[in-house]
Amino acid sequence: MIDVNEANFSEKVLESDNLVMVEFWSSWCPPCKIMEPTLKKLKEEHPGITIGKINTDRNRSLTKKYEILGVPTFLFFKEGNMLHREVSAKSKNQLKKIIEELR
Amino acid sequence: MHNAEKTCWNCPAAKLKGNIDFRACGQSMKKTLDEDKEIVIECKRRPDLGHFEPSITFEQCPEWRKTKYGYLLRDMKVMILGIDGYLGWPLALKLAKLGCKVSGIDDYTRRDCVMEKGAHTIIPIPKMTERLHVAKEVLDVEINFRRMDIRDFKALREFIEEVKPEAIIQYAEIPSAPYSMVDLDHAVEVQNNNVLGTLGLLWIMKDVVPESCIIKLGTMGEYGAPLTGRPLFEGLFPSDAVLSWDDREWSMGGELTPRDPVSFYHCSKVQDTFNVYEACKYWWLRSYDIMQGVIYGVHTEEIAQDERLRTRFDIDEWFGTVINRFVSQAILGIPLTIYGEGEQIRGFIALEEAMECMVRLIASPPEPGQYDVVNQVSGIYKIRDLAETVSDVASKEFGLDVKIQRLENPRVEAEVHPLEVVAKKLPQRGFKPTVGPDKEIARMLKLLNNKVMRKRIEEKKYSIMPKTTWSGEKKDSDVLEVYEPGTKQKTGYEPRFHTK
Amino acid sequence: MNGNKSVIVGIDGMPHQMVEDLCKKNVMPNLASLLDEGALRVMKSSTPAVSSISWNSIITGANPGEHGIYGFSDIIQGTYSMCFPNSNALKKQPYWQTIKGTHVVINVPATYPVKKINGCHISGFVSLDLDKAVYPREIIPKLEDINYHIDVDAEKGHKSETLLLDELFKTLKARARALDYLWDKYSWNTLMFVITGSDRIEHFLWHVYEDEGHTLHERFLEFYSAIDEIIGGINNRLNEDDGLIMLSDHGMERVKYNINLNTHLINEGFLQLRDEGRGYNKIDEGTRAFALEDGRVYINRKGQYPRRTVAPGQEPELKKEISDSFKTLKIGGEQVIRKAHFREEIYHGAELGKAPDVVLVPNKGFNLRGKLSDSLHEESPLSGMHNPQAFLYTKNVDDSTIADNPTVEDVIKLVR
Repeated sequence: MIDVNEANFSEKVLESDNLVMVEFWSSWCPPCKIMEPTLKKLKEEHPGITIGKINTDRNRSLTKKYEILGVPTFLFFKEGNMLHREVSAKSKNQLKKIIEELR
Repeated sequence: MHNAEKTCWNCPAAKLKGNIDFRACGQSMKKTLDEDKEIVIECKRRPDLGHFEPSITFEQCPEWRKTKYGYLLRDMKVMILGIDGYLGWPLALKLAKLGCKVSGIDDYTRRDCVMEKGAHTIIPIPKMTERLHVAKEVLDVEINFRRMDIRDFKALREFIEEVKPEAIIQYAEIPSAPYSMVDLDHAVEVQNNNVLGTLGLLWIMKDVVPESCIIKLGTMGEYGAPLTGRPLFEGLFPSDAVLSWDDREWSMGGELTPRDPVSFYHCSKVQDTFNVYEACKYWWLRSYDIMQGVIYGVHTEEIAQDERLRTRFDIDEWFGTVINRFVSQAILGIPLTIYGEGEQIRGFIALEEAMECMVRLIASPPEPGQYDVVNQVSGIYKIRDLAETVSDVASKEFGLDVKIQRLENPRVEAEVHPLEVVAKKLPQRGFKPTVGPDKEIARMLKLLNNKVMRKRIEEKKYSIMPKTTWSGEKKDSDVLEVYEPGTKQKTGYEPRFHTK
Repeated sequence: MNGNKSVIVGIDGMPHQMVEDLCKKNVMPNLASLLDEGALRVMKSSTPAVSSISWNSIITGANPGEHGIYGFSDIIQGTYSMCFPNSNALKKQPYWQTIKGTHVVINVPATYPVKKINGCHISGFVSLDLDKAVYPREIIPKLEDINYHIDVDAEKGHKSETLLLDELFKTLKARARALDYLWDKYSWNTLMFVITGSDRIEHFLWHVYEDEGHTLHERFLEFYSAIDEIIGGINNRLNEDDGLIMLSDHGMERVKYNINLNTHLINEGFLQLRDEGRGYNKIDEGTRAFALEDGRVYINRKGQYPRRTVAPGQEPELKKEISDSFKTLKIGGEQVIRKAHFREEIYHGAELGKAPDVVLVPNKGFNLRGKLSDSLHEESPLSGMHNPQAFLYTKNVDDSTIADNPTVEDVIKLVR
């Protein structure tokens, strides 16, 4: 999982060749912190996708740009386009389903 | 070291200052999309750094020194509310010995409540003034003590403003389930003291020390013991815990796990949980809610150094915890009192382990705004198995003749139930259990199985048997059976414990 | 110090060349007539020519190796975390703490947070809390009354050039009101008053200054006329024997390119980055050197930084390698770096250990940046960049100890 921020967002997310899922998270948000093991498992099962995490407090203009109103929020990008948005903690199966549909 | 990679974000010395641009002269006004804007902080301990990004790790920062429990802030200011108590006093000494600047309050509620029962601490303890002198004499530590009721918010606020503690340990609660069930007045006293004390503390912290962590004692009893046997997670569901219904599925990740308290005292702890959770949400406070198992034991490295430094040891039906009570019963020759079937399973932790855990948590502050929960348990056991262990150690190593009795359960609780506990956060912070019931029971017997102590237990033996029932009646519990240890088959559920 | 008063007027960022130009064009008539009564010199700014270093040298008379401030930003030793050193990091006392008497200090940049002073002190940019930027606190209500601002409102500023100019005039007027108020309130021996809008206007609108046909050109000049009025007012209130010093901390010139020094270091194999970490925490094992803003290059030395690579024995050769490498850097056929100084050549003092190892001085128009970026050079969003050609003017002040080409470290000799 990579750390995404305002400086590397273009390169890591918009210009990536893979399907990219980014989680917008915040340190005070329990459901966010808890997603870590699920995301790790997802990464193992789908090595072809890129999973990134963006801290909302430290990347405020990115957060504003994508109109993130609640955390965690998952955004899915392919070839520079945002394809899908999911809000709130998700189970591995829920995320898997979305990933498989979007590939 | 478990906390080497934590950074200024976690450190209580960091004051968040807001967003500023990193280049000031002339160019600071231009916002360009690809420049990093960073939240900057000021460090209360290193004002010469000016404003900077909060990314210095504990390993890099000269204010954090290596200790055997992890990196700890040099001269860390820790305030213990309830510093005269069973846990408060040993923790104060341990932290002071580690180089912390320890302060604390107490109004001796515990001493008064135990006296109300007509009981006393079996291990004699001096008054606080003497305790402080002995600590200086024997351990060469100074503790800043103020006598105070936690609900005297004006005085509490003044003290916190003066000291500016970097961590606050909230131990100032009445920790007795039977005490809270005695009658209306007792129930009110427990909830008033516990809940309002914590609530006041939270408001004061928000104003005075919002970057310091509140480490408050909850209890495993908040969770109850669900008959389904579902695992007791550490306060919040993991993301792969899923609710499925109506052919749909939801992740429960991050939500508070259900609470099912077992007395009005346990209710007060659950209420505390919600108050602390909210305060973190509204005010970006940082907290550890400690679901501690049943505490037992008499030993820490510091209190063992002088008999005047010892901590209290209660065995009455209100304030004695079960293993401590069994040990004193064994010494007196009273059959060990298990309630009902004795198949109740609980988490347990020895005194010295609890102290180590507390230090490791103080060393590892959460993120700003984070409400974190820890199951502070080093082993889970069935009550009747513990009775067997006590009698085993007592008879084999101390020649005592021990029997076990089953009493009519004065409480309303499941007597036969599964228990599966998850306790990973303390091991992640470097904690490994070092003391099992066997070892600590032997220590307790060594300390207490002598003429002087036996006399002190004898004096208060009428306070041992349970009289406080959950129904409100004051009556002796009927004896259902007395038996020899080692004669019963193992039955019922097996506890399950996850630490990795 | 005689019984007479001394006034120091600072105009942040005003180059010597501009003083001559605006006096000649009669944009600043008061200043022009003062030139006849006193002495004007070119004064060399600090190296690098940055306000926080320069002002601190002016007010302490010390070399950065003695006062300890090497830039607006710095790296905290033992880490790769960036910080803004403030006055808590200044290791030499400013003149108002060492010279007896009452001192009024208004808007000197890089002096936040303020300390107790016999007189009063308002710090200039960057000041985060008004509470800690003003001593004594009692004057804060009056400052709020006259609408005093430490700096131009950045948000409004970058939206449009006209808005910026409006903000600059407003801030200057309030600054002048504060000057009048404090001039009368205190019975002072020295008074230092710095105008910082000049630095802002020059950064943003240098191209407007250079282009006489630009629609805002007149308005630009009006700003300096407004400054001139303040200078005139000050001069009128001085007695015959009172001393007047006017100066700037650095000059300004047109930017051609922003140069990202770290990109060059990456291309030449001195710097390696990793994926994790923010900002300079991306610096990876194997890095031999990295750069901060304004031409400062640091050796990634063992014992000083976390992922250190360079042992003491390797340093002399490395410094030369870095210096030679930058000397070959050319953009559009032009050499970017005019000089590469080793730190011992330009700094001396107890704080030498915190200094950058190599300090690069650019040729005209090359603005040296410390970003971690892919592109070696970029267009700049601003048209003005610093250069070392500041000015120093003196009247009724014993300047016999000052050379004809002083540096900012010499100013203090005039104040004693």
